[in-house]
Amino acid sequence: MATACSHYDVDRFGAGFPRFSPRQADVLFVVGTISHKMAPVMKRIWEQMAEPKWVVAFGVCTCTGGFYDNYATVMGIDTIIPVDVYIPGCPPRPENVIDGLIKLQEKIQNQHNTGLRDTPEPRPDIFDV
Amino acid sequence: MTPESNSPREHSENAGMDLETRDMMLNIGPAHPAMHGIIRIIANLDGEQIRQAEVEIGYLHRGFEKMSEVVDYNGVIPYTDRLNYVSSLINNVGYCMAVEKLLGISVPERCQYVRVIVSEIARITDHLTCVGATAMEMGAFSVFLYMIKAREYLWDLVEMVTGARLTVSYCRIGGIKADLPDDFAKPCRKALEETRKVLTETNALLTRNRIFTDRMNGTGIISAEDAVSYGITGPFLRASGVEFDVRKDSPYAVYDQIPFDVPVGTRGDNMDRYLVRMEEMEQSMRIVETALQDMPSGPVQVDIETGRPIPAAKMVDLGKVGDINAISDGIALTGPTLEGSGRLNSPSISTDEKRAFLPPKEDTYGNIEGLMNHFKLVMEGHGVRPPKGEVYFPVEGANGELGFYIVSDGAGNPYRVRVRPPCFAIMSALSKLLEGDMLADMVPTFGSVNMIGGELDR
Amino acid sequence: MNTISLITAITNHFPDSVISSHSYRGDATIVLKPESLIEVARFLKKDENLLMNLLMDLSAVDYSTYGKAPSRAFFASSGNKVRPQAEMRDEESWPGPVPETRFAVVYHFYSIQHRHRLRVVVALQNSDLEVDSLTDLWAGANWLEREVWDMFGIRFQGHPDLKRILMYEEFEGHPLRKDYPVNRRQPLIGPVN
Repeated sequence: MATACSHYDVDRFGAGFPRFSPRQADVLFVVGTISHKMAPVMKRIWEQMAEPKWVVAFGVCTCTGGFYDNYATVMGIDTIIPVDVYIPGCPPRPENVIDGLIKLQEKIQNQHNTGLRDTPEPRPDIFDV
Repeated sequence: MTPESNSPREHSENAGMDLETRDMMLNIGPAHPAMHGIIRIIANLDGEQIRQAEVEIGYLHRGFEKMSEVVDYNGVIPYTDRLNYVSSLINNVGYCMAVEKLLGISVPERCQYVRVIVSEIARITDHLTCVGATAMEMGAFSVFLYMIKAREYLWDLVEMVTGARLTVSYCRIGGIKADLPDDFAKPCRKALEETRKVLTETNALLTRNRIFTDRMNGTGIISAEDAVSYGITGPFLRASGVEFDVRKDSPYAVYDQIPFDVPVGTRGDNMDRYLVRMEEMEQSMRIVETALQDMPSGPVQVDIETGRPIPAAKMVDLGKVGDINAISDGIALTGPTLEGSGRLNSPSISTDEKRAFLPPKEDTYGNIEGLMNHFKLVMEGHGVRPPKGEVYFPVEGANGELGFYIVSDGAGNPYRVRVRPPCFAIMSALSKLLEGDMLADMVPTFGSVNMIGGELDR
Repeated sequence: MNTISLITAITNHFPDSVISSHSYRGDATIVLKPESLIEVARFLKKDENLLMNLLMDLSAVDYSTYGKAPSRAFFASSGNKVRPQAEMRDEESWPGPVPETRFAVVYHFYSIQHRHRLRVVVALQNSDLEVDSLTDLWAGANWLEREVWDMFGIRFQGHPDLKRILMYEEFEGHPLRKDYPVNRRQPLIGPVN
């Protein structure tokens, strides 16, 4: 919330108005821990978005699950939907968020002209959870 | 919003006869623009009026109570931060005071004053967020921006004291992490002045604004008996006319020595809740200013003869080679992370009880007793071990009474930690609040409930 | 009313129902037999001197692994045991959970007029996990009891709609019981780990 407001102002980077309808949005910001109850809802919202779409995992709970290693939490949303930019932190500082947004913009600029993108790297299997 | 209507209305042949209508079920799903936090409301609508609403929660359940059985007592503190993440300091204070009650120890007076000050600052940020978000959902976007601006000033203050803006983990069992910085009073007064300016502006913009009052007056009414029956506490209950504030009725820390007023409403509608919150912010600022004046003086003064400042790394090196006489009176000069937690500050921020609070770093690295003390508190298999017992301790959270019920069986991990979430009770009354109102009234009602997902679902 | 007179007022009125009582750390607590819960609750709400009109909290504790935590670490190589003197000594000791029971349902009451608090503990055997519901007396008990059902599996008789509230319906088991491992997941979608 703070990033969107006057002190840090994310509007100057073009992320001015959040549109809450999935059909009109380009980027899905997944903020906060995703529990197993919420996971099907989130997947459905992602499926409702129109291509081209990108996903930003905001906060360490969405990146890897954070310190909530228990029965209720999804350990990283990239087990369910592909993620483009990870912004860790609990909670991430507004400067981190702006940095992540700029990285996303660079990634989009460097994409192939046809709009196809490289498949995100698969999650390393070294963690035997 | 995905409407799933069952059937269209059937029109009658003759005009004037009663139309046969059916209720429409509207699913205001977990992801919704006007709902703060993840919640699902299944509303049965008759035209625009809500006949019945069923509320479904649990989308942010992260298993706080189960996790707290796995970690040790001090390790639960970061989990408590993330309960009501908008006013995390109040949760910290509540948990630590509950464990201190179980242990039967008390903290020094300055520490209690500091806890009161940071709790009130957290309460102001919570109310700012609540009022700002409610105003934004009703279209007053500028008010939201002003309130967040005021919140940034307060978060700069919190960052100066604790090092983090939102999830702070500031309190420890038996004290706090570090003392206030030496020059705290001046930025604090400035931040409060800016907040007062913002509140005056908001008052001018909203309180007598026709659109705002029309939407807030008379909507979301709950009577005092119903509110008490649902277990509602806090500003929600006070807006219905019941004067119950944990800070006044079961005072803790130094609240009984600081004069302040508790605003109480009359009608129990959304407008009263907004006014109660605005006035509570003013009272919180009054508490902070009084506490800053009355606080007992800070760290012990450095005596030039005996206490010499030594850089911390040098002190550790001397301690390792055993040259204790050179460092026994020294005061370590540390970086910003450990600022305020040194030997000078520890009498004022921590209890004397060695079995609960870590020794200052000069003792940990300077002599063997401190090292052993540190070891006993930190290593697995040791740690803070309260006696067997159960305890309940309530504090006044931003939404109401936040209670911690802790059961201990003498081990290093808590046996059971139960949080009494204030907004759980309010949300259980939400279906009653929404009945009879229009669909558009759901927005200000839900905004004034101030549902924080982390606290509701834990 | 202070804690002693509070406890005596209830014990005098219901001598058969109260199994024990204490005021550890100043919290007045009474332990009741499960059958007598609803009468005592009605008395607590209606009696002039008590007037407990706020049901503050309703939760449960699973005492199945009470006191069975691993013992303190000691250095086996030295042959010396770490003396447990570092434990906090207690003048007043807590009586502990009711013996032979697994679960305890804990109610916290508060009276706004008289400003006193009371904790009521109802101990349940593992074979009989049913307790009367308090939804008629306090409307807030509805969701609180649903949560206890969800997390512990204790049924409440007379509850209008006892279903899960924090977990999803397809979840099997009751997470806060001591025999449910912390990270056993039952995901609806996605991998198990």
